[in-house]
Amino acid sequence: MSRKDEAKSATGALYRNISTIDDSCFMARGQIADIPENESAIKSLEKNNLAYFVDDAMGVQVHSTVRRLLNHVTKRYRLRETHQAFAGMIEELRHAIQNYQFAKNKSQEDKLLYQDQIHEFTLDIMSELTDTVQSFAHVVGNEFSTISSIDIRIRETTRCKNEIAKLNEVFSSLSVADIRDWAGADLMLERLLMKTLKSHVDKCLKELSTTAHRLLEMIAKLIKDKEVQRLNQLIDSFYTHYQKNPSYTPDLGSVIDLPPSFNLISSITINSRADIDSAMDEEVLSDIAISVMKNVQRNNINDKQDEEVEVTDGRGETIEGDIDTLEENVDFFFDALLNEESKVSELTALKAHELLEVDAEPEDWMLCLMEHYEAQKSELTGKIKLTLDEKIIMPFDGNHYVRDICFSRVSNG
Amino acid sequence: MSERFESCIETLLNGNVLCEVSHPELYRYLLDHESLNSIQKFLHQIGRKIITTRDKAGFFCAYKDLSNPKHRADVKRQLEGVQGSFEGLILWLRLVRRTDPDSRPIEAGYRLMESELLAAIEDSASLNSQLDEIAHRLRRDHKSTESKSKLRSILKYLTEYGFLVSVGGSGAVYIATAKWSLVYDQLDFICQFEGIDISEPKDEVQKEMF
Repeated sequence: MSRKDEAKSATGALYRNISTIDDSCFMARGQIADIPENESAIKSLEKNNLAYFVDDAMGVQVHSTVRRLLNHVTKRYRLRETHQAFAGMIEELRHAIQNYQFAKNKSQEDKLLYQDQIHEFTLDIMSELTDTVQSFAHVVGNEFSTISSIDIRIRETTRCKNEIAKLNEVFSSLSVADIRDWAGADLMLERLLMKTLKSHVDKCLKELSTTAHRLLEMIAKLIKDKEVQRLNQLIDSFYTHYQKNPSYTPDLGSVIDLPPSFNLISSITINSRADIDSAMDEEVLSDIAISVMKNVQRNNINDKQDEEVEVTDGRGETIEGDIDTLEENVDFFFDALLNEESKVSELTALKAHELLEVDAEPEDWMLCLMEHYEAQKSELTGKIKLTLDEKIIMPFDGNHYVRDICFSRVSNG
Repeated sequence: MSERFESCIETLLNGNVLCEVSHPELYRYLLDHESLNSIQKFLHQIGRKIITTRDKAGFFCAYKDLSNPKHRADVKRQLEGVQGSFEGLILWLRLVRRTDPDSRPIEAGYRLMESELLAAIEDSASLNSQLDEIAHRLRRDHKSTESKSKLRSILKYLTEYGFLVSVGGSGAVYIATAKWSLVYDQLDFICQFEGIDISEPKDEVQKEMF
């Protein structure tokens, strides 16, 4: 059978059995049930290499080329990793160009053969790239809406994004410099590679870049959705736990390694005082001091104004006061000296301290006597003479240590 | 030392969770690697360290070494304080989620409108009863019969404890802080430690007509 007849026969088989093929491709993953109703379709497809028998369990499988054709014409895209295929195609194109350049000056027949190959490979790359761009656009448009698991959707979307990155890497070998190098001085190659292929690749890669950006947004949204789902599950699980165990309180007393979330410090308030010796802050400190003093004064005035003093009428009442024993002893001391009937005409402070059993230190007692004497000096001058028993403590002769004071009555007669 | 360094240290040592909502300027300061290092270096010298919540939304201060009995006792005391409030907080999270059109839970940056919450609560007997339960659990104005008073009291409590920040000081709009991130981190740990199942509830098959 000639090539054309084979092609006619195959397309005829497809045309006649399209209903069975369509059902098998879109509803049964390409499988055709090996039943009497499908017998003629199976026979026809097998004859044209469009289907093949797998086993008794799986029956007959439609060839992947047919499925790809149907996917292509119905714009039903399934994501396939194509970067390696593209790498292979570019490599094939490069070889064909090398052979073409070699055959160009040698054999016209070979030249035309490789020229056809270059055309074919170039258009294959362009066509495959268009399909790839459309398949990614389909992914972005549908956001894997048929997949319910967020995890799988994140994985699939990430795979798409990675595939685009790999494609970019593969097509980076199709730089202007590389293509110009391939084309050399050949006008046909220059037109085909530089104008047709390069502009198509650039356009498709630009679209892919936009798609990749959208995929990144999708991944971010999916991760956010996953986090929201996790938090909601956490909240609900605790709620259910509290419902089932009404008196439940988490007991973490036995935890040895507390996680960071529970390692919270107790609050520390940092307080400091002003450095009042700081020359740098002198002005600020004096301003503060003045302001504080003003406030204090204002408050004092207010306090005084606000203070309520209770006044009681004490007129006609007798108030009894206790006399301090020390003062009483001082009075006894001078009474004894001033009483003319008394036999005592001379008395020292220390002697009196002993006799009166004064409840004070001797130094304090002497001071009290001196204070009384000084206070009553005008009265006592001429009646009592005072002599200090003292010594000078060197090295300064102005330091006097008084050991005792002798008071003696001045005799009138 | 910059003013922001000083403020950061003071805020962290005060036991606050520092985030973009509660302390925007200081949070941005801490996002800078160099600033964060200088803060960390200072805190290390006083036996403390800076930690982020798992979602990186907030920073807080922790003890550097929990083998110190004093620090451990301190942490234990704080733990006893927080674990009693979990139930009330979970009920609150559920209540707010029910009023959200997308059933989103509260997270740092989540916006709450008092009027919208109140309208939803007043329209639903079950939400009203949830509010009663929250007020009871958080010991807030639970004797009041007015939903508005209870809601306001709960919002005030959450603001005082750093879970919410009042916007504009009007008291009508609140934004959630990263303290919720800390709560989620704590709940996560409790789940793991106490074996509470957080897997997705499976769809139950209805066996017969009721």
